[in-house]
Amino acid sequence: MSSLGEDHADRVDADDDWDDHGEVDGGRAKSVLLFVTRQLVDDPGAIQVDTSETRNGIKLSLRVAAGDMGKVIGRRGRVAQSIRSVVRAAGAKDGVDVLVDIVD
Amino acid sequence: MEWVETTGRSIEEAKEAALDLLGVDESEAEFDVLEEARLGLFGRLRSEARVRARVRPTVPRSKDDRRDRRRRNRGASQSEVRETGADSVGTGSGTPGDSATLTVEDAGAAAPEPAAGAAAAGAAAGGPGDGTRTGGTRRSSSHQQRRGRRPGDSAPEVRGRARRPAADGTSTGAEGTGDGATADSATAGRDARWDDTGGAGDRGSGERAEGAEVEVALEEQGRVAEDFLTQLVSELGLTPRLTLHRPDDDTVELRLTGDDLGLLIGPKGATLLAIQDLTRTVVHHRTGATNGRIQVDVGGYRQKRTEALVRFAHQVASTVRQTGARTALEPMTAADRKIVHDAITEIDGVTTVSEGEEPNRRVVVVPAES
Repeated sequence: MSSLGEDHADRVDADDDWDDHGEVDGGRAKSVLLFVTRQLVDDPGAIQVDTSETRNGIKLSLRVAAGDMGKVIGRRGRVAQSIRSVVRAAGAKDGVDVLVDIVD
Repeated sequence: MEWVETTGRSIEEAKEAALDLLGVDESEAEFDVLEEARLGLFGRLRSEARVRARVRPTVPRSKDDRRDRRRRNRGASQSEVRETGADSVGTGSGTPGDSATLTVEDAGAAAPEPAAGAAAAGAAAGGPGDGTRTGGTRRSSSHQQRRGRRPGDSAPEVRGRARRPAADGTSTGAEGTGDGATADSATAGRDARWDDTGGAGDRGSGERAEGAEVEVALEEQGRVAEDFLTQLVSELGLTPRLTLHRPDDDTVELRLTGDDLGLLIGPKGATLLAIQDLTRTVVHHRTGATNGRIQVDVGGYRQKRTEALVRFAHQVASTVRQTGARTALEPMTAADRKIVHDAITEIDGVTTVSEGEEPNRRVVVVPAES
């Protein structure tokens, strides 16, 4: 199960300068994703987030320890969905469309 | 505490129906499976699954009583909250293609949205009402340990990383996540903010059929929640004011107020809901608590949303009464559906039912049979 549902949020904040300074470091969205994930898992050391560029934003690929998968996905994907919402909000602040992929 | 009994094609479905009736999240309810669904040849349903459920008891007081108290309290204390995030409150361009479905926004119930264009619509597509993931997500329940139960935990305690120093407790935005420092001495000052110290921590737990009940004082849960929220908003580059409230004995409400908090609310409150869910999950993970309830509010959104929903529900009810045509509303969370059910119950000539599966479950307003 790689991606539970998709987040095709169109660019929420049409502040078109994200590609000027954003590079592919994931910026705020990535640090929010890291922060939230650290709070949820038992093994924060195993968290890994890779950033890649997509057509109109970035994709953050999240990896956690096998035993922590359930914690970041949650029942019926509820935690994963919440993580996506919050990370998307973080991206929106910078005008970046962010997609979070939980990789297993 | 009232038990409700529901049926469904699967246990999961029956549980959802029950949660719907109770109007609470799964983590706040407890279930007894009375009967599993039995499948006949070729997977045909021979008998439905039956479950009974109730809101997990935390104190020996009735649910109705609790809800009334919360309402009163909210109405009184939030009236002064300034208008924030108006861009999000009424967001959403409705669903023009789907005339059978009404949205709250169609009724003009909330604040007008100046730019309800692609941004709002697009963002809404990822919200909790998102219907695209019914199939895939269900599987995930298999590798998720059951929420609300941590059989290994016998004593209330807080694990994990050290909490941040308390600063002054109410203001957020202090940079730096000083992970090493605990500041238990600072907690004394914070406790003064609670109108009910002592809390629910030592209360006898209700009778539970299974699993360990872990009672953690709500003050403690509130601190963990506050800590998480403070850091989260700071990570988001925001500096709202954060205050803790006790709408009732079982609830801690964390209120964020300030300017430009629309980001924290999101389309139709989706981001707020996500933040609340994450806060609850983190508190549960860190404390193991199975009692109490954490709420997050941004700029009085919760109250405004409730009022808008009630107005909208009344409006739809009167239309249905006049036309006699059953009308489906947009998909909503269990809590929102509960608000709609309650609002329409008071009205003669119409009734409500819920249909569909999460996350597309929706209220349908039906003309009462005469």
